[in-house]
Amino acid sequence: MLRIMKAHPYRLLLALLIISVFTEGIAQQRKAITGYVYSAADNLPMQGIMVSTKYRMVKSATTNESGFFRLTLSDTVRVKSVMLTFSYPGYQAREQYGNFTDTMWVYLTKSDDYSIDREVYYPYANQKYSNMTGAVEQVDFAYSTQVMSSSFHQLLENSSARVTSSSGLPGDGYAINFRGYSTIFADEKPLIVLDGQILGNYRFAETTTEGFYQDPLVNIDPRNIESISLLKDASATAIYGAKASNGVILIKTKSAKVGKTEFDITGHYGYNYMNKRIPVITNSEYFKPYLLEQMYGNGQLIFDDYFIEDPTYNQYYKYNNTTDWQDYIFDFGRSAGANINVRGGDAIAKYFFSGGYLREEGSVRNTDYNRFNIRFNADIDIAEWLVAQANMGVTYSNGNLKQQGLSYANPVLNSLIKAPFLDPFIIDSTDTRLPLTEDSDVLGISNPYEVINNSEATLSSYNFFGTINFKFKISSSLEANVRGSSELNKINEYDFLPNHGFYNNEYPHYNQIMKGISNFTRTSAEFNLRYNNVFKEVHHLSGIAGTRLNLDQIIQDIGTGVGTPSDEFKDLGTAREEGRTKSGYQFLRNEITGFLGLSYNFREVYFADITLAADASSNIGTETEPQILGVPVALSPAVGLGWDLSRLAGFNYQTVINYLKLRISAGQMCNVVYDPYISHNFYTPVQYYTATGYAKLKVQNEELRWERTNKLNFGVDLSLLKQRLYLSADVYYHQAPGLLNNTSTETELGNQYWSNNGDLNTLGSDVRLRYRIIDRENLRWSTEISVAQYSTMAANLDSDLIFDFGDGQKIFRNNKPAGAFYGYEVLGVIPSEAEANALDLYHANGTQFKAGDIHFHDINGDKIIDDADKMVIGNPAPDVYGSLVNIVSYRNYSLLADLSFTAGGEVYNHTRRILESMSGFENQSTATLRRWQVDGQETDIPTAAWGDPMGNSRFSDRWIEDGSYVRLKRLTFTVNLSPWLKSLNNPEFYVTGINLLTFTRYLGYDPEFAYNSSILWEGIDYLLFPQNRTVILGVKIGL
Amino acid sequence: MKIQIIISALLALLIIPSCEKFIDVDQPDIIEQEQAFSDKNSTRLSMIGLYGLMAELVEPMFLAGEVRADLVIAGQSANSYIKEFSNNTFSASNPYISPKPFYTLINNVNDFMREFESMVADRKMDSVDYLKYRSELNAIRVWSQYQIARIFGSCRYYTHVLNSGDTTTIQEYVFGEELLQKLIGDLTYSDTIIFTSTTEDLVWQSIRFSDYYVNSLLGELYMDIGDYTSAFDKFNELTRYGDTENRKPLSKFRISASLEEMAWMNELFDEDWESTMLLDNAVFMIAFDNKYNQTNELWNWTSSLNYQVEPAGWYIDQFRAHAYSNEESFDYRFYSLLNPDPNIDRTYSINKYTADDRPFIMMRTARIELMKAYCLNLQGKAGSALTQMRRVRQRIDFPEIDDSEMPSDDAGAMIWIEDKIIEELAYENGFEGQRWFDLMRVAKRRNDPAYLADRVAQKYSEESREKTRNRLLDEQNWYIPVFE
Repeated sequence: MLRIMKAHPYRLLLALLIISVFTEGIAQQRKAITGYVYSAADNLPMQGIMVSTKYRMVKSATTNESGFFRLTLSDTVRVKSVMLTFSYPGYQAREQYGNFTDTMWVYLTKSDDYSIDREVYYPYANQKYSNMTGAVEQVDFAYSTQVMSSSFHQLLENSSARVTSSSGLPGDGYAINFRGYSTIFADEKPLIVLDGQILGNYRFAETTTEGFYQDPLVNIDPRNIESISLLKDASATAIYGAKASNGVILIKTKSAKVGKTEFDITGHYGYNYMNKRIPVITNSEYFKPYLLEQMYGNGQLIFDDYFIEDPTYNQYYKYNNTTDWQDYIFDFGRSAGANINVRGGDAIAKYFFSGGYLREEGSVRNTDYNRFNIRFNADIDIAEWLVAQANMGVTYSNGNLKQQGLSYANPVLNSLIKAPFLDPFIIDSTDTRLPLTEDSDVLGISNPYEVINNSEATLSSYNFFGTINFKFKISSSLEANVRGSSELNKINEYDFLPNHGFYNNEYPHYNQIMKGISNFTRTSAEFNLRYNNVFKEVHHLSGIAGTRLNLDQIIQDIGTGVGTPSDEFKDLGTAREEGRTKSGYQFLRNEITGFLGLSYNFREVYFADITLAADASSNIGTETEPQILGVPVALSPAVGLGWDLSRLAGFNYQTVINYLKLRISAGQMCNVVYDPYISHNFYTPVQYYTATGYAKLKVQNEELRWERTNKLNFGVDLSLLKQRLYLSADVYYHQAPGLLNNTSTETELGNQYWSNNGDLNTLGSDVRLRYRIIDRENLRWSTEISVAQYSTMAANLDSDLIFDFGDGQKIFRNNKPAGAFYGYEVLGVIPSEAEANALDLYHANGTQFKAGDIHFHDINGDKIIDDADKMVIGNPAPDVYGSLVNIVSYRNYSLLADLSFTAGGEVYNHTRRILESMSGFENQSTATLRRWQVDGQETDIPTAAWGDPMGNSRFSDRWIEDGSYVRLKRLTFTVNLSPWLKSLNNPEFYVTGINLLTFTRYLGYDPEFAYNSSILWEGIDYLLFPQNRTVILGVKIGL
Repeated sequence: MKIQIIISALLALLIIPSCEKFIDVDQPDIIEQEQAFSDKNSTRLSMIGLYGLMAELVEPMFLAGEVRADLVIAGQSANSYIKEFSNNTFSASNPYISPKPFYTLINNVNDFMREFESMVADRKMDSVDYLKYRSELNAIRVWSQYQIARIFGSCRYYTHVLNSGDTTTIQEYVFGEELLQKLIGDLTYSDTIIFTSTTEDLVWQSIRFSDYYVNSLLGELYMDIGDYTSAFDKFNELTRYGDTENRKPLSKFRISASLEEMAWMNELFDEDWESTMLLDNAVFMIAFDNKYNQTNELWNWTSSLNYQVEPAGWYIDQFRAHAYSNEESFDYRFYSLLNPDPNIDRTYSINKYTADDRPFIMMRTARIELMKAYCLNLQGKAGSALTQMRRVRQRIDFPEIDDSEMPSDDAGAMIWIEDKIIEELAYENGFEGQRWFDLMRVAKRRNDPAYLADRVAQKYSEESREKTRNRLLDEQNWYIPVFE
């Protein structure tokens, strides 16, 4: 058999298929089903289990002390096998086919444990995992994780989604990606559906606080979440149409419950900190000679003050300190939160109420984030045929931030480049530290102490998510739903960067002030009809048809000014006339989606889903094809097929394989979420003399199409070892043809225009394994492994698409990894003059590379290092990433360890480039102490040269590092206090450490960062604040 | 139960229809077709945008037409892009060497034409207006094509609205007879339809395309193909002297008769250019208004505050010698060079852009008169040509042209007078963005690249003079390269 299978695996499948079809309906002699029921956890027989038939011919039996049952059916039953249901309080109901010839083996799983029988939160209704054809993943998260997370994103840590916190700045957003990238310029974020409400999840174009992402999703309180599902393939997501091409995250908040009113109170307190330091020069004896060298290079007169070694000189103490400026930046920050959940109700009205508070102080001094959440969910049975459901969440948050990234007011950046011989305070000639802070220094660098203490960046935001749904039960198999939803996200920002202590290159002697107001509103409505019926016990048919409307309004206004009369005047109105700028934009977006989904299964063995969504959007150009009734419509069709082999008639291996299902799905997902300016043919006001006319500044492209991704998915779900081990594996291929592209078709005849040019192809897989290794009454050990892998390649581009991100480049080149870094390859440092002459390489301006310069790879061999020598120097996409969670519990104690890992992604370390360029007066890293200085010196660091005339610090693989890491993301110890506090309901106490350990070769602060979730910004470490390490204590009390 | 079904059905009916309207959103930040061309009036206003696009061409046109040529040189403080123009070497990174903004203007003209056609079809515009607008658009397109051709050496000729994929199929014409004939043909169409309203205020009459400018543009095009008779006729239609009976309808422009009539002074130097006198003299100029945040960057470049673009040394010397050559009179045009410190000879700056919103003059009366002189000379009418030149100099009360050195043979005299006119243009028309094209026209006519190369080379320092001269001996290098 094994040999046959090896040779022709499909023949075996075919044989099984034929057997299963042809044996249906053959009448049998014996009319009784027998079998044994065991507990999956300890493999012991279970007594008193209710065994019943699932459909009309209701019969039941119970098991005896050895777990045996015998269910006798009437002689008229003409089918070969019958679906039986096994149920017992505290255990999940199991459905399994039984026949009259074989003894059944049934294993029951406890209610709280993961199993394939469990219901998964799915679009429009919960569904049993075993009935799905799509790639769907229910996200598991520990209760302690939920209680102590500041954002719901942290609950996704163990899923196959790649979730990256933007930075360690409190309140900063997250980048979520699953299954690689299928777009460059359209929206790359997955669709978020909260309690059936499709969120805008809109990212505003600008923020006044550099590097900060005002992520609307951080306003969702993780403590209110009941379950999260990831929909990953076309079959599962198509119902959401052209906004779901990057996958869907379904979130369900806790629901109302009938019964006694329950109170849950949780609280936590702890600290955030950051103990990693970048090794910069802190010893003035090393820094001063370097500085001197740079000043010679600059042709400057030597600043006597800095170099006078005479202690009687009145400025001596000012210029002879040993300051590690990083110590002024990082500090312990508190983390605290409290939450109360109340739920209760009667048969008519049920409610869930939650109020929460959270305060996070960052490890970067003077940064914090406060959030107040209120949520109210209610279910009201208005009539027998009408049920109303309301879900509402209100969030107010405010925070004190700091500039990140390349801003001149980034405190971390300033602390790294500030000369170590200076002090934050004025030190007089008697070596007395005065309580007055220093201004920015003569070297043109701000005083980091001032930056961290006196720069202001405040944020306040109001957020509302609300939806109300009316369900009309028309008949037992038909219902209609009408939903109205509203989303509001309003953000106010205010930034003030004083003059004293700051060095602003653009306006050297002025302070700076910035104000921003951003507003997103969405009003949406939905109507749908759902049908669900079973015919002749074997044909299960369900369907949904409906329409959704969205009306979005997006407004952002930002004003900046420089030079208020003094640092005490912090109002935009007092800023100077010149240097005032106003920017902003607004647009409206109306969308309408029609959708239709049909699900059919035969005997719950063969499954088929067909889904079709049609999207019309004001984002799309009016001329785009195809059109329906004169309106361009993006069609997203999908088909999914599933085959449950473990329910086939001939399958009787429950003792070994408890479940085996094969899935396949295919579909085309459209993406219409992009800037409306891309697709519209519009005029811009042009002033001429005293009149205003109009002109088109771009060449239009009437054939421009929305983006599409063709998706194919193969999946297998497997359960072994009496349901203690679950394995789910998917292999997928995404092909996104004709991406929206704005640069490659530029011609001399006009400004750039958008076109459909180039493909992204992704081949990937994700595997999830859950295993309850030990499952005894007092000792349990379970492990959960999630591993995902993908590679996204560019294809069919007319020409290379090169993206300039400021001081480096990324490239999309056919048959190369998409978004790879593009620059020069470094072969080493030229050790000697003789070697330099032998190499005989030249800068593009004709200067020869000398000893101590970088030896760049001269790819075309023309002896000149120029653009033609650039190559792909690194791929920021990880080869593989995932997580490993172990939970061990013994009696009332349990320990959770969550390791996450990423391997193979290469990242650009911009911080190190600043600290090893050796081209200015900035402080440098200690690595530069081994820089090339004498002829013949073999080293990896080139010579210091003011202004870097040879471009030794140009964007090259010198700055590309391996971003692999293994991180102990979370270590939680929980004590259940029930034995001691009997009057309370499940009181618990937690200690959690977050990010306690990281193993990496990356030389920056932290290999985990996200400047933006777009593929264009993947892997670029632009001086964002490092992730915090956190230690928290928490309690939960139930009343 | 039935009620619920009815409710559901009604709701469904409410949502499904009017889908087309629902997704047709009026974006507050976006002006779409319907708004720009809703009616006749908005259409008229929309067209002003084309001149706004033209205003953005002033800098590249000045760099190509003046900074490359012999009269000016990049100053110490000039940025590297201006220096490239001054040195006649170009790099791909130079933002001023792209023909894109010129083509953007053409694309807009084509787009407007298409819109107007559909407005006529929809009866939103009558055919009289259509013809007027169309001939104005047509003239703007010819103007833009002409600028592209003479700056870049060739021009892609197309009259349809560009769409993706088209760009490779569009024919390219080199700057030569074939293209010029095509442009003359197109412009003659505009010339036959009067589109300048006589009731329009004087400012708008001279800062928009007018029948007057179409005439003079045609004159220049005829000069480029060597048809001096037609060229003279076109220029002559614009000027009026003597008997009123023979006056053509377009004869509006007249040059001042004497020094006392100060109009020409205003024309050149007055900050308040909106005074009527200048408007009488300017055929077409591109205007700016600093009250609306439009500034003429040339003011910034040429002013004595910046010295980014300076008069060339040889030119200062020659102009000085000329202006002071007569003890009784002084050529007041020398004021186009400003010397803030009279004790230092070489601190002259250019004084033609005296305010940050002084217009860029494309054509004015004095130039028309000199062009007429040029045409007469090449028709073999040496005497008339000299008379014509004296007319220009009469207004500055400057003595007769000394023709004692004029060769006696006709061919020699023609060359001599041509050189004289080019010299006169340097005094009269310098810094107005025409110099390079004037030199190029003569060099082409004489088939003598050295004519241009020698003149331009004299502004350079010793070391770079020969190198640049040699490069300019190759006619291909007269055009700005278009980089991929």
